[in-house]
Amino acid sequence: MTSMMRRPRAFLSALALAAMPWLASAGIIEIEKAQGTTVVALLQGEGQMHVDAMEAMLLRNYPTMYKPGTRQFFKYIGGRMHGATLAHIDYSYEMNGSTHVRSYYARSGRSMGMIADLAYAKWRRGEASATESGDTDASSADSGVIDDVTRDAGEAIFYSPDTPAKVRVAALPDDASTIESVNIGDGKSHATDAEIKIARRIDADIQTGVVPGQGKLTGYVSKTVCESCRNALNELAMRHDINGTVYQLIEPGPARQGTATGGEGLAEANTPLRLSQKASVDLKSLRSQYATKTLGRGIPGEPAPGFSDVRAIERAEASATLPELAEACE
Amino acid sequence: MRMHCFVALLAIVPGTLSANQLTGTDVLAQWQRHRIERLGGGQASLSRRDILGQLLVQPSSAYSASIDQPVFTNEVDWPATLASTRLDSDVALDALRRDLGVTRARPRRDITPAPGFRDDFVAASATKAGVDADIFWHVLDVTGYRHSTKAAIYAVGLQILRAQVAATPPEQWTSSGIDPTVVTRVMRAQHSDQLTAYDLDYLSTLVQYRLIHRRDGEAVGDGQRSLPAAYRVARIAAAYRDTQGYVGGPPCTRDAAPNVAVAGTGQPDDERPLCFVAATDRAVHAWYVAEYRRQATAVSPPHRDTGLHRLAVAAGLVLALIDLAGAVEFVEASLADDLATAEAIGPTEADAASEPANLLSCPL
Repeated sequence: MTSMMRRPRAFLSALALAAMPWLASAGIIEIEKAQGTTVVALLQGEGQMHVDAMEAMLLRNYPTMYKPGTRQFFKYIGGRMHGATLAHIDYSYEMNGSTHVRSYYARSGRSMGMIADLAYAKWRRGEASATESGDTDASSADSGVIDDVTRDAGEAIFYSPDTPAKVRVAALPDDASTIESVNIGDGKSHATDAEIKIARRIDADIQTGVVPGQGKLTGYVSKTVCESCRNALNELAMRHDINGTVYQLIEPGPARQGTATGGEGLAEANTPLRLSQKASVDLKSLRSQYATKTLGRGIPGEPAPGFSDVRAIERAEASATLPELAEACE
Repeated sequence: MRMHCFVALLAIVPGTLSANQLTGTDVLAQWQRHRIERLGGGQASLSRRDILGQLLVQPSSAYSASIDQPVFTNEVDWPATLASTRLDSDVALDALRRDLGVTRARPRRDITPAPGFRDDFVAASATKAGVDADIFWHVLDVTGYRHSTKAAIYAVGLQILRAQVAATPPEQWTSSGIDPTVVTRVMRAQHSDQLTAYDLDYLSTLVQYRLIHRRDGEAVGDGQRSLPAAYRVARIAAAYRDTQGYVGGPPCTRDAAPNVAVAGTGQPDDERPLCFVAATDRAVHAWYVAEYRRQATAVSPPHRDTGLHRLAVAAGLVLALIDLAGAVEFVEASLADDLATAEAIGPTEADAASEPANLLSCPL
């Protein structure tokens, strides 16, 4: 029985190897639970970059919305920003006898301009709900995706410039990579998932010689990695003989959210699952606070301090003068 | 029976601790929670001037001593704070002073200097910052005196990472985002060009997180109560300044008092270095922010793709947060309104109110 089962599988494997020669050198990407303050620090910092970029985009492209009566517009956008999945993946490889690391970071969802357009339309219709927030991973349709890719790429100006070591990943055009999201039966497109954006970008970087294959991948994702993203990461691993691990934060289920922050016995509190849930709650809280503070009120104020000021600091360092910083509070 | 003994021991131990041995208790957050519960979010805020006026003999002086019994200890929130933290008033007050940056670093009076720093005053500041001697000297060697304010950020970042590596089982390093190879690489670097953007960015992120997500009462590697990150960075920069020596004479007398003729006053128009060990952490922090600006304007901008450029960019991200850390943040205005509206304030909300991430804008 078992041998009969194996035969078709072996045949299919041989067929797959013939059709997809990269499978012969397949790597493996494991998915594990993430935990701890450093993971929260990493993802929070990058989450702030996205929020700051959104604020910069709104100030430039939607200045007329900074007026009374537009709170729901900003609240909707804030919800989209702190509800999005964040992914950070380090790709390390050997070259000239030393190890190099190229970090990729991405936010799930559509371009900032598209999110703002949707928020504007909802605000105009009075449909923006105070409770509406959440993940933008799963858009209900693919319409407008091509335009969105162009917009997403153009929004690089609102981020600190990419460096060889750190890259903000936007959605790529279809022809940049053959890694695609797959239909996992939930009726939604996962093409704008953060992990898929990064998998496609690493694939494109390897194809264009920016980085070599056969590297090691270590990633951190703010939410559970979806099936479509697992497939994309596996395809990347198989295609370029990449091994590694992606660590995911596990969101507590609705019934368990209250216990994730405390109240459990010590032994249970120290399980990887609980530690991951705690980190997830901490991250979510910090991201929500920052997005609400920065975007939620619709008040153009002082430039956000800290993570946002890469360009300002670079300009300042280049001109040997420091930027005007917010005055300390009295 | 055994459990009873354990509980009794727990009840006794905090009272025997000194403030710098007290870890895991955020006195400020507890005090704030009780104020909010009593007064409501809108009325619970204290301005910086109010708090410092109650804690310091001369709030306007960089070298002020602390008031033994601040007025707020006579208010009902303070006994409630002591009850919920199970601390003696003196220990709780010392912890509060330390977290709010009003303590000093005089050798053997405020701080027991750790070995390896070659100089008593340098050792006192670096010890207060909780940075090991090997990290302290190596980072300075790699970056040089002209960039010592930036170097201080990385020294603290390296120490944070070293502590995390020590406190976390090796099998959990990667899942916790802890990369011990950063310590290895940075400590092996002989020149700033050997510092990678990845490593500097990583260390910068660790420090930024500590600045935003301040956990008062957190233990550092040796189990001591950690100083807030902004003060740690400032103290290291001050120690670096002390290692340089002073052309016009030292700003401190031998017994760690300010040499009035030489020492800076900490006033905005006075750029002279302070007698750092005799100054409060807040005053050292204010000096640090000004000194960072002075260093940035005193040296030529580094070329791109050099270690110094990478050093500057990643460190610059931290500066804005450090600049704001000088405020005694209390309850941020809109959050306080929300809490007051909600009427019932649970521990979670009160914790959120005390979270400095909320407090990047000015309090009431």
